[in-house]
Amino acid sequence: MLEIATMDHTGDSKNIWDISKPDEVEAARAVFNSLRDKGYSAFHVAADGDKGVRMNEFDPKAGKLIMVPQLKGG
Amino acid sequence: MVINVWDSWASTISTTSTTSSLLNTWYTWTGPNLGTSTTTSTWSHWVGTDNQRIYVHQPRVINKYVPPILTPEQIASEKKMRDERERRYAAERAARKIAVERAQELLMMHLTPEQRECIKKNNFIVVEGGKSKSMYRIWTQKGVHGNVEKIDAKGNAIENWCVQLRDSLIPDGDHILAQKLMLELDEDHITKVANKTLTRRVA
Repeated sequence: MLEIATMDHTGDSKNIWDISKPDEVEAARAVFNSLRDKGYSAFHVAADGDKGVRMNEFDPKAGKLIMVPQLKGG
Repeated sequence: MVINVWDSWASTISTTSTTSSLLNTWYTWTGPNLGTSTTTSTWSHWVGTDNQRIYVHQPRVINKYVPPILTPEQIASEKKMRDERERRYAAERAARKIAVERAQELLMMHLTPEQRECIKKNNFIVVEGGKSKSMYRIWTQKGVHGNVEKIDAKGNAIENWCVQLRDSLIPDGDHILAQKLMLELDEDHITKVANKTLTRRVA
């Protein structure tokens, strides 16, 4: 399933899209770009914790993306 | 003299005194308003004497809380507000519980089988830094402040790192997953942000 999981107060919010539907792809792209503008980091992760990659541009074929909010030192 | 001071004061202030004597001034003040007191008895009400000293009676005020008497409608209204508040708190607690479970589920989905095993057994996971290949231990049951340790080959903690998501309302599972992902995939950034403390703790 193609989805963006964004970490938030509810645990995570999911935006899913069907790659065959351009409007869904564009909506997902808009969400991705909006979160990146707010300082979120995007990671494409594989199943079972295998190392993923950091993403700076939206790739509709990427699969599962996790959007991580900004970090701070405590 | 005292009497002369009062005398001149009385003669200036008082509008009803016909004479300017001390006794008449007080009599005027006390007489019409305080009823039947005479001059000397007024003072004796206000000022007691025991031939040794003059003392002044001061009324003693005791503030005792008396709860208001509520009408049945007011009681019902207060109960309604209380019930509504309790329902709201219960809903918030339930939502929070769901959020914590979802975050934990998201974390467990993105761990290797070894990490899942380690988290159940030891309450920590070990990740490798993506750039430096250093090893880090992330504790999962100690909150999200100071729960990251840089460790040596033997598992001894070399540094303690305090780094977490800016929004503290996000559940702990998300913080831990974020720490893992950043260590593995953006080590430069987390190294720059984290507050580091040297430690000699032994695992």
